[in-house]
Amino acid sequence: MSSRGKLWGCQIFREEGLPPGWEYVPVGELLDLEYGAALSEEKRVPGPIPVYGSSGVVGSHNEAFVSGPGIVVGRKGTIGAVTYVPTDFWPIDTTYWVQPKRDGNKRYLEALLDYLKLGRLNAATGVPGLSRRDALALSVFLAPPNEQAAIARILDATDTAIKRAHGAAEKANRVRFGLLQRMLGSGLNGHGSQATKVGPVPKNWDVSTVGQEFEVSTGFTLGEHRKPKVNRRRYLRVANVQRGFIKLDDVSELEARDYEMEERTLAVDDLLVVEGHADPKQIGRCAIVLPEAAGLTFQNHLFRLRPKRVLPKFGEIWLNGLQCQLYWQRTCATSSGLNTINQRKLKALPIAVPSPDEQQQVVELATAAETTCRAVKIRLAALERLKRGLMQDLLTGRVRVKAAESLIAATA
Amino acid sequence: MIHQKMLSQQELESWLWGAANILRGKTAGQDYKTYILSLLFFKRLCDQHDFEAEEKLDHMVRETGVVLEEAQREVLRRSPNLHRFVIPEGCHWKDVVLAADAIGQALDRATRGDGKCLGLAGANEELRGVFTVSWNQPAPDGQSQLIPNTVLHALVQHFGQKDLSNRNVQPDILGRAYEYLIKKFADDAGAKAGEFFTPPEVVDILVRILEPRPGESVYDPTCGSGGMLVHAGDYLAEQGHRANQLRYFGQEMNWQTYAIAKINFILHDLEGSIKGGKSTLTDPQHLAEPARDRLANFDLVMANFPFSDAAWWLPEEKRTEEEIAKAKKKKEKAAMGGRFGEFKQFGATPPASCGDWAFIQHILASLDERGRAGVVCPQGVLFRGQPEVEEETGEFKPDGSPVIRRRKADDEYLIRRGLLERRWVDAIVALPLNIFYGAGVPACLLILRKERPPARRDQVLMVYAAREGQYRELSAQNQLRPQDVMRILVHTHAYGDADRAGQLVDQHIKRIHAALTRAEQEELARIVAEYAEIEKKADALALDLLRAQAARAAVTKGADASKAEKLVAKLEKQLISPRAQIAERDEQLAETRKRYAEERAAIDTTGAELSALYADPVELAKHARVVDFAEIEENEFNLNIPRYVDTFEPEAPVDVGEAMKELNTADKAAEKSIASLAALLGKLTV
Repeated sequence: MSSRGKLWGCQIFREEGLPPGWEYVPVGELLDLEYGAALSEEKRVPGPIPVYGSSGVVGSHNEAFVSGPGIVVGRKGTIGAVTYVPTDFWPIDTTYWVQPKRDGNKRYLEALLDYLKLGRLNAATGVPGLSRRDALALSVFLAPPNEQAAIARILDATDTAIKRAHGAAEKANRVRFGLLQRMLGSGLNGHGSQATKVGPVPKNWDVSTVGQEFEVSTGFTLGEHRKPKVNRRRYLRVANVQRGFIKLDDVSELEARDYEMEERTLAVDDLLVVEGHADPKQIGRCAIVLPEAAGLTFQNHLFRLRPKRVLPKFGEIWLNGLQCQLYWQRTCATSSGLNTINQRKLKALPIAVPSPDEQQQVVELATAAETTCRAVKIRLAALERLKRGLMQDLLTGRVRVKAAESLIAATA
Repeated sequence: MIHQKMLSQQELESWLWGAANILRGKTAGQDYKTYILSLLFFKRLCDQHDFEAEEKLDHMVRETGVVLEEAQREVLRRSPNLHRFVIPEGCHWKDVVLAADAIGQALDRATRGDGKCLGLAGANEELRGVFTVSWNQPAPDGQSQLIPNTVLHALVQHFGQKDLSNRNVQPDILGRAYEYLIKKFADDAGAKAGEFFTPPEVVDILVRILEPRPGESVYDPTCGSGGMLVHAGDYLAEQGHRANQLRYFGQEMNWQTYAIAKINFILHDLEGSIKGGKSTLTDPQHLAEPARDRLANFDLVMANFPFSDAAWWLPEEKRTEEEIAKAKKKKEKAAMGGRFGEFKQFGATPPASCGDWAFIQHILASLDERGRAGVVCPQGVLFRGQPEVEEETGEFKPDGSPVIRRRKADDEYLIRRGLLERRWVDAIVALPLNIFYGAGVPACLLILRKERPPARRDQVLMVYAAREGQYRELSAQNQLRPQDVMRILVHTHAYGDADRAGQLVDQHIKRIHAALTRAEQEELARIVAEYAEIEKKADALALDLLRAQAARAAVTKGADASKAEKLVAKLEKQLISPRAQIAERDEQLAETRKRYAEERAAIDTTGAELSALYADPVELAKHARVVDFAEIEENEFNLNIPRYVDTFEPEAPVDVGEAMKELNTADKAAEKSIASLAALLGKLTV
C-alpha cells in the first residue's frame, strides 16, 4: 500500500520538482520547534533583550532565553508567522523558537519556513494553534550549503531594500500630513490664524459654510421598488467612497426612471461625502468625482456636493482635512451604532476659502504630496512582489542563483 | 382530459401559502406551520373520503350495470369498505364549517376527539399522533381564544375554496405541494429550520450516492419531516419502480415534527413505520424482532442528525436545563455506552458534551452486514480528538528542563480510528459553508459501507466540494446548484476512475437537462396561467377594437362618425394597461427562458470541466483524491480534507524579470515625485 505521505494536501514542495543536487527532507530533520517561555509583562525588566511574541517584538527584558541569531515561529495568535531575530532574545510561550539540527544558513531557513505558509496547517489540524508535529512533517527542498548562503544574501538584500522603502513611505506620509495641517491651519504665507468652529484656520482666508459654497443633495433611498429591473443604473454607496478616491471595483445597480436621474447623476468635479459609518473616523470622508465615475448615481447615505465657486479639489482637501475629521468625531460620535451627519449639519460646516490663486497652490502642493505618498507605496509593493518572486524562484531551485544574479544585474 | 381542469402544482402552492399567510403571526408565538399542515391534511382526508366513495360506486355501476338510486348511494357511501380512513359522525370538514361560532372546538373534536367523539385520530390507528395541535386553546388572559374565531373562520373559508381530493389534485402534486410548504416554512424559520428540514440538494446527493433499490429497507434515525425517506421513494420512481417498493423506517423526537412526517408519508401514499416522541439515542424504537435485544438492521441509513448535541445521553423527557446540570454532576456514564453497547463498539465512548459519534455509531449499529449509509456530519468528526501525545507545556522545572505532559488519546480519536480500521468509511465530502439552515459550522457527508469492493477496501475517497465558485452565494445562505450536485456525484461515483467519470458526466448532463426542461416548462406554464385572465380580456378588447375600427371606416361623417371615433379611442385607451401587462409577461417568459438556457449552459460547462479534470491528475488532486489507508495512518487518523486534498489556492507566480522592471519604474516615479514635491515646498515662504 502506498502513501503520498503525511499532510500531502498541505505540501508546497512536492518531490516531483526537486532540482538536481538538492535534498528533499522533512522539516523535522532540519530543526526542532521548541516552546517559548512564559514571561508576563510584570516579570519583564526592561533591558537590551527583545521579547518576541507571534507577530514580532512585544517588549524587552534584561535576560535572554535563547542566544541569537534565531528564528521565532508563531504558535498562537499570528499562527505560523516566521521572524528572524539577529540578536539574543526571549520568545514568549505563544511562540516556538527554532533549534537547528544541522549546520546551515539561518536566514535561508527562515525564508524556507516562511515559504511553507505554516498558518495553513491550522485548517488542516482543526485545533487552534500551530501543531509542531504537523509543521515538522512538511517537507522542503534543501539547497547545498553554498547555494543556501547565496540565496540568503539575495533575499537579505531585498529585505534591506524593503525596510528602507517602508521608512520612506512613513516619511512621505508624515510630510503630507504636516503639510496639509500647516496649509489648512495657517495658510501658505504665514499670516497667522483665526479661530472657527472647526479650530484655527488661516487668517487671510474667508470663512464660509459648506451650504454657501456647494449645492448639497442626497441620493436614492433603496427599497423594494429600487430593485434593478428595466431601468438599471449603476450607483455608488458608502463603500465606494474612500478618503480621497472612489473605488469602482464593486458597483451595484438600482432601478430609476430617466426623470429621477436628472437630479441625481454625478458629474466630473462633484464631491461625495459619506453620511454615516460605524467608525467615527470615517464619517464625512470625501472624494471627488473623476471622469470614470461621471454619469453614475448615488445612494442616500452619500451627499453630493456640487461646488459653486471653490475649486473642487480644494473642497475635497478641506473636507478630508484634520479639522473636519476631528469636528465630525466631536459632534457625531455616538457610543453605539452608526455615527451619522445630516444635511443640516453638513451645510453648517465651516469652510475656509482662500483666494483662487492660493486655492490653486494648496491643490498643487497637496496633490504633489499625495502623488509622492502613492509613488513610494507603489515602490514598496513592487519590492515586496520582487521578494515573493525571488523566493518562488530561488527556494524551489527553479532559477539557480547565478542566473538570478545576472537577471537582476541586467535589469537594474 | 380531466388533467386540464385539475389544480396545477403552482396554483396549489400559491393557494396553500395564502392559507399560511392568514395564520402567520396569529398563533401567539406557537409554531404556525404545524397548524397549517395539519389543517391541510384534515381537509384532504375529508375531500378524498367523499370522492373515493363516489369513485368506487361509479366503478361498481359500470362493472355491474346496476342502477343505484340516490338513497341507495347515500347508504352505500357510509360503508367503511369504500374508505381508507374512518370519519366518525360529526368529524367531517362539513361539520367544522357548520360550527360557525366555535370552529376551534369543532376542529379539535374532529381531529383529536373529545369526551363524546373519537375523532379521526381515535378512529384510525394510522392517524394516531398526527394531529398534535389544539385549535381551541384559551389565551393567557383566560377570557378569549388564542386563535380568534374570526381567523379560524377566514382559514376555513380559504380551505373551503378548493377540492383537495384526487378529483381535483393529482396525489403526487399534493405531495410535492406539501413539501413545498415545508420548505417555505423552513425559509421562514431560518436557523430553527435545521430541526425539521435538510436542503433538497443535499438529500438528492445522498440518495443518488446510496442508490436505493427495490425491496430494500431505508431508515432515518432523526427523520424530521421525513424528506429524506420521501426522496428515496422519488428516486425509486424515477428509476422506473414504485416508491412503495422500499420499506421505510424513521424516528423523530419532536412530536410536532413527527406529525408532519406522518402526514408527508400519507400524502405521498407511502407506507412507513415512523416512530415519534423519543430520542433515538436513549430510546431507539426500531429493534430487532422478536427478541428486541438489539437495534433493528437496515439496508440503508440516511441521516442529518442534530450537530454536536450536548445532552445526547439524556432521554427526551429529561432534557431540561435543570436535569442536564444534575445529570452532568452525576456523570451518568451508564447511558454513554448505549442500551445495546452500540456507543462503545470501538472501545471508547463518545464525550458527554458532543453526540456526533453517538449518532454515527447508532447508524453503524443499525446497518446490516452489507448496509450502507450517508450521513450529514459537522466536519469536527473528521479531526476532533488527538492520539496520545507527549507535549511540553511551556513551563519549566527548576533545573531548566521543560515540563512534559503525557496526554491520553481522546475518545473521539479512538472511535474514529476504530471505524477506519474496520474499513467502513467509503467516502467523505466536505461541503461549502452555510448550506444548512441554522448550522454555521462546516459540514460534510460521511459515506459508510459495511461491504466494500475488494479493490477499494484500503482506500477512502476524499472530495473537497467547498471551493469558491462551486456553490451559489445567497445573502443569508449558500446553495448547491445543479452543476455543484453533479460535480459531487461524478467524484463519488467515479472514485478516481477517469474512464468511469466520462460516462458519469454524460449521464448526469442528460438527467439534469431533462429536469431543467421540466422545471422550465412548469415555470413558463405558471406565468402564462397567472396572466391568462388578462390575456383573455386583452383579446376581447382587441376584437372589439377591430370591430369599432371597421365601423368607423364604414361611416365617414356626422354624429355617427364622431361616435365611432370616440369608441375607437375609448377601446384603444382601455387596451393600454392589459397590453402593457402582456408585454411584462412576455418579458418574464423571455427572462425565464434565458435563465434556464444559462443554467443548461452552466451544466455543459461544468461537464466539460469535469472531463478535463479527470484527464489531469495534478488538477484532480485539488478536488478529489482516493487516499490509501497507509496515508491516513500516517496522518494519525485525522481525516480533515485539507491534509489530503490540495485545497489551498496556489500563490500567484511572480515573474522576477517583470517585477524588477516594475521596481525600476516605481523607483523612478518615486524619485521624480519626491523631487517635484521638494521643488514646490522650496517655493513656500515660511
